[in-house]
Amino acid sequence: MLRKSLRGKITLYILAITVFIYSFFPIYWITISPLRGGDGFFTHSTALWPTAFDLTYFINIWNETNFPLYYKNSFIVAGATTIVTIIFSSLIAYVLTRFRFRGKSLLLNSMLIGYMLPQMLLAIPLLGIFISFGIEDSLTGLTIAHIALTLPFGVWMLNSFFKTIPFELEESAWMDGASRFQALYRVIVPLIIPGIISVGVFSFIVSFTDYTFGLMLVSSETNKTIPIGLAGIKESTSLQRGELLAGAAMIIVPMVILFSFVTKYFVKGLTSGAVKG
Amino acid sequence: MLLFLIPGLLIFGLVIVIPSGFAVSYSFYEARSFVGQPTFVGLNNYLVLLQDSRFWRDVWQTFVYAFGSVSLQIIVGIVIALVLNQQFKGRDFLRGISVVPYIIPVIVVTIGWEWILDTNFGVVNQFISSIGLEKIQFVSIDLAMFTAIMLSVWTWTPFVTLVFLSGLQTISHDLYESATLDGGNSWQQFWYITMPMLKDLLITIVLLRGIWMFNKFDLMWLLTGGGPLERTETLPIYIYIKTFKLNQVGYGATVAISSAIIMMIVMFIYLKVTSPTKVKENG
Repeated sequence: MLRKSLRGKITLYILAITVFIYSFFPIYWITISPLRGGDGFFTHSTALWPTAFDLTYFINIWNETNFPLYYKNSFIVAGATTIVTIIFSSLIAYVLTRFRFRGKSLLLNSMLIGYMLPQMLLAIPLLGIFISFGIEDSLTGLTIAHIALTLPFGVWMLNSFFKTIPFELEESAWMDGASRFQALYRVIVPLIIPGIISVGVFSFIVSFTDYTFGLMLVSSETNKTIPIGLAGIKESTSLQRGELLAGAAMIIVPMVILFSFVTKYFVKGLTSGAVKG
Repeated sequence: MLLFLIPGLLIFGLVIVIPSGFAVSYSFYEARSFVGQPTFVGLNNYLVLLQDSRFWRDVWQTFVYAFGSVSLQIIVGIVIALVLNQQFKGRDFLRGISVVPYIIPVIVVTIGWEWILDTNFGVVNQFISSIGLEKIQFVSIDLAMFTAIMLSVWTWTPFVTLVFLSGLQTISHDLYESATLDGGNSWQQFWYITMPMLKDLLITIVLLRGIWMFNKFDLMWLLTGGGPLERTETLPIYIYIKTFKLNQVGYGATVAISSAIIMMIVMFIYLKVTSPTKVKENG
């Protein structure tokens, strides 16, 4: 919309740089602050550039807390959530777009309501149910709870992806003698790979970053995920802010790097699934 | 067909339908913990709730938080989307960067921003005092809600940005060209072409973000814990304290159910008032 005059161009670049600083400065700050180490952390706390490369705080939090264990737990829970969500949301979405049956719109609408329910509302009964099944305070229980968050979104997102694939494609595969399953895996799945990746990325992020369910459903040290573990470290006074920031940096640096590979899928999924949905 | 549907429905039922039913039934009981035998009290919890001034104050504070953070997210998100929709070098890179606040865990957001806003060592207060102003206590009684809203805007705006950006890309360039020929300036183009074209989208985003912010627990809990003096206590925090800290499971469920009902009523009114040209059900 801005005309391509010089003034317009300069304004545009100033705006772009503002957006960059706004989005990226906190990430940068969280990363460089703990690198100042014990000597410079407070004395140089407001220098805008990195003043040192001291890994003391990083080593402290890694060795003196259960941080490595939290890390492992987070990957287990997020990995399991992602796989289960991908499988079941694609199955449900496939049925929703390929068959007519009673209660179909009821099912879709209840998915929407599942989307609207407060996490608190789900957590209270989930804990009760987990206790009766003997899976309270376990990674299994936490994974099931995360699926409650990711499944409705996944179904909604993939529903819109499946709709874009013409039914004739499958029919012609049947004509050629393929079974329903074969047609699904040979013809349909390759076409919805972008949708599946977006659901996967989304589920992984939701599960990996979840704090609310973890706080309520997990209590023992060995089952904590990173957000719960780090928040616990923050509440205990044994470690200082330098270590906390080092812990935060150890979460965002890998996440940002991983995310840079899948940005376009995440963006595509969010936009097509959440809104055009 | 059933073969496909059954496993999915089982999981869906196990994690969403059954728990919701349980939550409703809990709200009719007085339960002191998750394991003991609860006592049936009928609607008593709801009668207590109607008299509970802490609940009603928290309803108000939840609306302040949700309204403040959603409206700012929408404004900031639209501005960023408009910038990211222009042609310039490094645009794809910037699009990626602008999403980062959305993907990092809330605990990292609060640890990082508490350090940035720190009264003694924070870079923001350093700047404020260097230009001769008094340092600001960001999580004080007066400012805690404001700070929580600001951090929420920073973290969750990228959702609005992305959705709006994808909407902008669906608008035909011809519209803008003919508007330019007719002498319309950028502001007029935004107001008379962009906004009307994206009206439905905007209604949907406000709805989604409104629901999410109304139910948001983590950021506020990690930043303020509902304090100081319960000034930032929202409904999810009240539910958490009642259920998990004070072990009033039945009453906690009552607050949770009531909170969901209030939210649904507001959303219903919102949809009636905005009356989107087409209601999005199953797409």
